[in-house]
Parts: sequence; structure tokens; C-alpha cells
Amino acid sequence: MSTLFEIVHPSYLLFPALLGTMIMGLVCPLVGSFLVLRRTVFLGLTLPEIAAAGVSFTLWLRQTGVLPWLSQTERGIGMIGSLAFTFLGMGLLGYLEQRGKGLAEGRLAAAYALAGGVTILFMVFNPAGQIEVLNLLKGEVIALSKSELKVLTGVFGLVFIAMLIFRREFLLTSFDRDLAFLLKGRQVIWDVLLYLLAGLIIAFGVILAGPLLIFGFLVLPALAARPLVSRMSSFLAVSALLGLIMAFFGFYSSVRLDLPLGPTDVTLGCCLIFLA
Amino acid sequence: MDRLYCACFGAGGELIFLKSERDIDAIKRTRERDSEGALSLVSLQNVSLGYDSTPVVQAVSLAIYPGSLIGLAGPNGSGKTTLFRTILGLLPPIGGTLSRNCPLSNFGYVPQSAALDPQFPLSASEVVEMGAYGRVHPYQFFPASEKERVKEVLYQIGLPQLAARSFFSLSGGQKQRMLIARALMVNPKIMILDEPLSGVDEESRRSIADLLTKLTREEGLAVVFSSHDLEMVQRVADSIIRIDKGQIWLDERKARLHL
Repeated sequence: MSTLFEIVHPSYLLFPALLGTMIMGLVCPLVGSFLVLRRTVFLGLTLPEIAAAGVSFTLWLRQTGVLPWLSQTERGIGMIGSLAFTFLGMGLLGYLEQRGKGLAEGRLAAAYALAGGVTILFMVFNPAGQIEVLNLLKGEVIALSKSELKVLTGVFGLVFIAMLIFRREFLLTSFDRDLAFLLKGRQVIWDVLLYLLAGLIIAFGVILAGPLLIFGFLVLPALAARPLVSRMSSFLAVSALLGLIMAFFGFYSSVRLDLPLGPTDVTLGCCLIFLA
Repeated sequence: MDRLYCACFGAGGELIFLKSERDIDAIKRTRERDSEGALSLVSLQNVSLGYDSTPVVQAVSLAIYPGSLIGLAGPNGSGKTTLFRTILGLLPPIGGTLSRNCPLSNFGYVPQSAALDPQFPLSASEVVEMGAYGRVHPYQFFPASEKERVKEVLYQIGLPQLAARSFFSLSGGQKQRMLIARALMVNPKIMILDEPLSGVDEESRRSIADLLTKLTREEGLAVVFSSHDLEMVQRVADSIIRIDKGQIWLDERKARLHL
């Protein structure tokens, strides 16, 4: 119990990490709920993996010295790669979707496999930086600094506000595209906005918390909330609440039992699904 | 000669006129409309419909006027939904001229309820509210006036007691009526219903048919609905358009019944 009181005290060393985890736990499920409802859960798995490939690629690029201006901190460089690869990957998947060839699941599976392969290959090409790449991809949220917490709060706060403001548009476009077209015109703008918001939290989340934790926060609370509710407004609220619970108790268990945060949180999230 | 509800070109290109008023009231309404110089809400002239330049139905010419209750009858896969999607602007016509004399936001569309994903946790009232989303700005709370309107349309369809129930737990007929309520929330001038009478019990069919008739008779809406069941269409519609094997024509038997 003393650990519980200890971690919630602002003077606690890992307090920024706790806050960061809880912010992710609150915001990710709001976006993830729509991925679950649109039956694009695997996008939540594939995009973090693509972001991870971006991290690995840019760290390799720095090591080669091809781009001399690329001399920021590991996280800064990783962030650039994560953002670039996430949005490139989304663009490419969107283009393939428009062409409509093959199965959507097949495209996501191929992209996931490719991203996983590319991540490992660039780590092999960059033996000197293997440990730093691995550390970044493990998601050292526990080492979150106050300045990184500010960035995370800004980005995730923006996504949170956008999800609240445009929730009706996202719902309408996801549930009945024909009605959305009649009432709001071309619905592609809402698709782009939703995936842009998803891309933002994934790109930033992967570098700060790792692909596993971000995927867990995106889909597990929403999957756990779905059987508990019969209204959309409650669904979003319960998903976010379960995300917060998962984040807080995952963090607590991680500290208490000295376990890595990502796997602990994801295991807790899966327990929530079974309980629901 | 009375003003016509519906005119259509036959497969051979000949113009067929249909006088389809069901009763004296309807004829009166038609005359009133004549005197006001009523415009058709939608008109198609020699339109070809289909996907990716492959026509499903060719040479469609028809006009839809306020107050008309039109049934579109044809077997599954004959192009009924394609025609509706073209009228609604969801599919571009391959050829011909399509004109709408009211904005798309005045079209109330009722899809087949089976086409909606039951994965969504939605109450019946949340589904009905969606019809007002075109009027509510993103940053606004859902206005109290719209909530009142939701209650009104739920009374209109006779299911106010089911507002809080999960939409996907309702029976087929109840779901259809909720979708009609959602279309009414749009404040439509024309309603387009895709197979509203399939997969519903007899009592619900009667209730939906009565509701559609009431909407045309009392509120002057144009209602177009489709069904693969010709007998059902004959029982409900004032005018019948048949669609099959890439062609579309007026059912003259029905026309004679109402001459």
C-alpha cells in the first residue's frame, strides 16, 4: 500500500512516467475505439510496427553520417523516423485501399511483416547502436523526463480535444458512410483526420512507450468496454476509464513487482477483457 | 388530363405515361401541385447506371414528384440499390442526365438494416439522432430542440418506448422503423428506402406501409421504396416501376388498376 501512495506523490522520481502512462491510457482508447468499431484493429498493430521501423531506420542513417544535420538526441531522431514512417505507411496503406486490390487484412499482415523485418535489418546494419534502438523500441516510458512529458501532454491533449469535438463526425462516417455523405458531403476528410490523429499518437507513443504498450492502450480497453455498454457515449467513456485503470495499476504492478511496464500493462489489459 | 406522378421511357425508348393517383384526395393534391407548377424533386433522363463504366441498368428516365409513393420492384441483383445510390449521388451515372431540385441533405435514406454493423454499441435514440448531425456543428452539444425532435419522430413511428433500447437488439421491423425515424430527422422532401419490408413480420410490414402512405398523403413527401416482392409493392405503392435484366419500365397493370 505504501508503494501506492508513494507513486502518486508529485515528488516521486517516476511521477512524470506515471502521468505520461495515464495520459496515454486515457487518450489512446478514444482513438482505438473507432479502430475496433471499424474492424481495423490490425491497423493498431501494424502502424506501431511501421513506426518502430522508422526509429530503426533513422538511427542507422545517423550512424552512416549521410545526413550530418541529423545529430539530435536518440529520442529526437527516433521521433523523426517514427513520424515519417507512420505517415508514409498510412499513405501507402490508404493508396492500396483505394486501389482495392487484395484483402485489407492481407495488406496489413504484409505491412506488419515487412516493418518487423526492416526494423531488425536496420538494427543489424547498425551494430553500434543496437542497444539504443532496442531501448527505444522497448519503450522506456519509465525514463520519461519533464520536458518529454510536456510534449506528450501537448500532442495527446490535442488528440483528446479533437476526438471530443469530432466524435459525431467520426461515428457517422464509421457507422453509415452513405448517410455521412448525404449530411456532410465527402467523408474522406473525416477518415483522413481520424487516421491522422491515430498516426500522431502512434508516432509519439511508440518512441515514448514502445509499440507493444501503444497497441495495448489502443485496442485492449475498447475490446474490454464493448460488452459492458450499449450506448456510444458510454462506450467512449468506459474505454477511456478502463485505459486509465490499465495504465495506473499496470504502472503500480510494474513498480511493486519490478516488472517491465509494457508487458505488465498489456497483461493487465487482457485480464480486463476476460473479466468483461 | 391530370398531371402525371411519374413518367418513364420504355426499353425501346418510347415514352410511357402513368396516371397513378390512388384516390380522389391524391388527384386533388396533384391538381393543387399543378396549379403551383410543382417541379420534380429528381429527374433522370436516359441515365445509364452501374459500376466502373459497366452498366447494370440502361436508359432510365423517370421523374419523382412531391407526394408520390413509388415502389421499385425487381429480383435481387437487378439494380434497385444501384438506382438508389445513383439518385443519392453515391454513384456517378455512367451516362445521361440526372438532376435534383433539392439539396442532398433533404434526402432521407433508409438503408437495409442488415447493412449496418452490429458491432457498434448504439441505442435506438442515438441512431435516430444521427439524422440531425448535418445541422449540429462539431463544437456544439446536441441541442435540446433536436432532442425534442427525436422524441417527436419516435412518436410519429409509434416506438417512443424503445428509445433507450440497444438498436441491434430490436426486431427487424422495429429497426426499420427506427431507420425511418432517422430519415425523418433530416426533415426530408424525399425518402428513399432500400427493401424496408424485407425480413420483417406481417404486423411490422403493415405498420411500415401505413407510415409510408401517411408520409405521402399528409406530409406531401415523395417516397420511393424497393422490394423484390412484387405483390408487396402492389399492395403499398401508388406507382410501380419494374426493374430486371438491365431494363426498367412502368408496371402497366398497376397503372390500369388506378385509371
